[in-house]
Amino acid sequence: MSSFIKVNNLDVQYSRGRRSLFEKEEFFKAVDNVNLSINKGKIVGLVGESGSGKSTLGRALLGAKEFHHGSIHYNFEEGSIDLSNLSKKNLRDFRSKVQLIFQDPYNSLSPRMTVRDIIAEPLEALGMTKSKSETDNRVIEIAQKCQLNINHLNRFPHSFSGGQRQRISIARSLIAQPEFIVADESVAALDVSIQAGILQLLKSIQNEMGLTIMFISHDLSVISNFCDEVAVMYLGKIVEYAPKNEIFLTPKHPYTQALLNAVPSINPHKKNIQKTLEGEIPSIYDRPQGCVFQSRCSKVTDQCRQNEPSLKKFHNHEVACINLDD
Amino acid sequence: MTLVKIEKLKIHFDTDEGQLLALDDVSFNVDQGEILGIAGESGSGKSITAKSLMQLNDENAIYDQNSRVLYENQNLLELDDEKMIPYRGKIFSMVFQEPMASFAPAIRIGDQMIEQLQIHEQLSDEAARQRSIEALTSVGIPNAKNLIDQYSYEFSGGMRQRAMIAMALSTNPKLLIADEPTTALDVTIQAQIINLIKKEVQDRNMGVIFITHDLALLAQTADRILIMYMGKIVESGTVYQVLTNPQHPYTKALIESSPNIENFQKKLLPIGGEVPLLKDRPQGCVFQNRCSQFINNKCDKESPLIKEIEDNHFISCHLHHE
Repeated sequence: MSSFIKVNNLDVQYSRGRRSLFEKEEFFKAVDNVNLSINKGKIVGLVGESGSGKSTLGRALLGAKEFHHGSIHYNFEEGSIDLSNLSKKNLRDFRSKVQLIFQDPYNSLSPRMTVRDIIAEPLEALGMTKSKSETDNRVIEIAQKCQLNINHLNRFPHSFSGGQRQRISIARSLIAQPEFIVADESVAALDVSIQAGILQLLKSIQNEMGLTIMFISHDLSVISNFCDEVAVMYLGKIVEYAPKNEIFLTPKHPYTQALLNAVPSINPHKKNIQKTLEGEIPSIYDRPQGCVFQSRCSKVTDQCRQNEPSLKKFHNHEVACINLDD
Repeated sequence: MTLVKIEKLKIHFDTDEGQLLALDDVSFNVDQGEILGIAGESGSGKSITAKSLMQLNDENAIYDQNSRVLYENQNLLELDDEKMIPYRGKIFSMVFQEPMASFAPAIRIGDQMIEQLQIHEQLSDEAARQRSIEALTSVGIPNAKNLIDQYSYEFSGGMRQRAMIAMALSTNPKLLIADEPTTALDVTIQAQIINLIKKEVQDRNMGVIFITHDLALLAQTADRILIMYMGKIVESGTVYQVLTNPQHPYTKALIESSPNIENFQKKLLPIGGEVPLLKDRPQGCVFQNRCSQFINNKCDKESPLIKEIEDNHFISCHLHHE
């Protein structure tokens, strides 16, 4: 089976502006030579520290951030789409098939629109319904699915709690029946008791609709619970990609191992975060030659400073490290 | 040895909707050399509790007459602003969640550190600067001599939080209040900051109040834990008692709903319903509308009293009676 999303040698750059009028504009890579294939119906966790390029990669996949090198291919049910050459009309079709759920349930909903209008907006923007009553029916259907009280659809967002708002946000992203969703830190702002409910909702809808989800998060315990597969990013590169069990039980890349060691255990008898990674993620402007993780890696060798490792298959993992042993 | 004793802390906020009860009879001690964790969800009153020690709550806070914050037999709630100065940065010090928001952006980090040192101690500019450089060095900021003249936006999040801790510790406080000090940080940086705080507690034998919503973080740092809900302490005890043998239905539910990296197949159980608004504070137990073991005609009528169920392990719940 060919994969649902195939990303090849993807680079995404941002401009740093020019230092002076006479110099060239400078660019830096936020996503650097990323290769990734995602199978249909999977929840892929994307994890990494701030500045690792997670959100940029997510946005590039949605066509919301243009990329400068490489390709992104989608195999939708109605045919495949190549993001690098997309006509205006196809872009519209594409946009109906992919959606984003934001982090902040407070700023991502317009305070001047009723919940009904917020949820209906994608349908109207994409011209997917013929009449108001059809739109209304679709809104009610999806609101029920997201466990919203349909008698409250004429209210404004401010009268809802954080958890309810995130349900509204999810309803909006699902109403156009997308096949792929990027959830960018979508539960990070919620209390755990509410977060568990939102994760449960997302999982059951994902099952029912056969959705593929990219779940971006810095929280490894949430990722460990919610995702099927996990990609670990560092300084714009994917350093490890593997099924969840493999990542959490037998991490291979030194960075993945260090990251897992830094997650506090809820068992007070097991004191676990004493041995921790030193230093900080380097600035994206000073991307080192060779391996991106060299400045903090405990296994670093001279080789690492010269050769850039690429993702290689290793015991069910894809790992970018030259010092792997069993 | 007891450092600070909080007795019957009760606070109303005067709002357009009337006087709303935010903290209800909160009592606890902090000992020397101890890390006391306060956990709870948004709106549980953890930050209000901590701010009360320094009287930093908003102007509309009304402290109950019987509330006492005792330090060396002095009730701090009786002190005016001038007399409170030593308790705001010298004897008590605070580290906030947002390192970006807690430094003034247009003043050099060093100048802010020197200013607060000189408020609390008679120091020359040069001596204060020297102390600040030492403080920055001791929290692991390399090249502090030069970095002290930078602005906070030139620091990364982790560095900013280190600087914040350096500033809080430079006056040698007896009690450090850390309000979600690592929530905005990445896990690897969080681990560094936690280890730094633990080391400083040991070296200085100071007390710490550590506020967070993250139970796992408390499992790794705290000696004792208070679990708060709607302005009440619902359970308290040692970190082992509360996290491995929780007795209050809320504590249990909170643990059940938390994802756990060591047991990632576990099914997360959300807590039904939501925390009521302050103006809708129920009669009886505050957790009644979300509790799976709700007792009709009991939990909705009477407020449960605090009971000691084993040595130093307290809960406030009707399910437990002698």
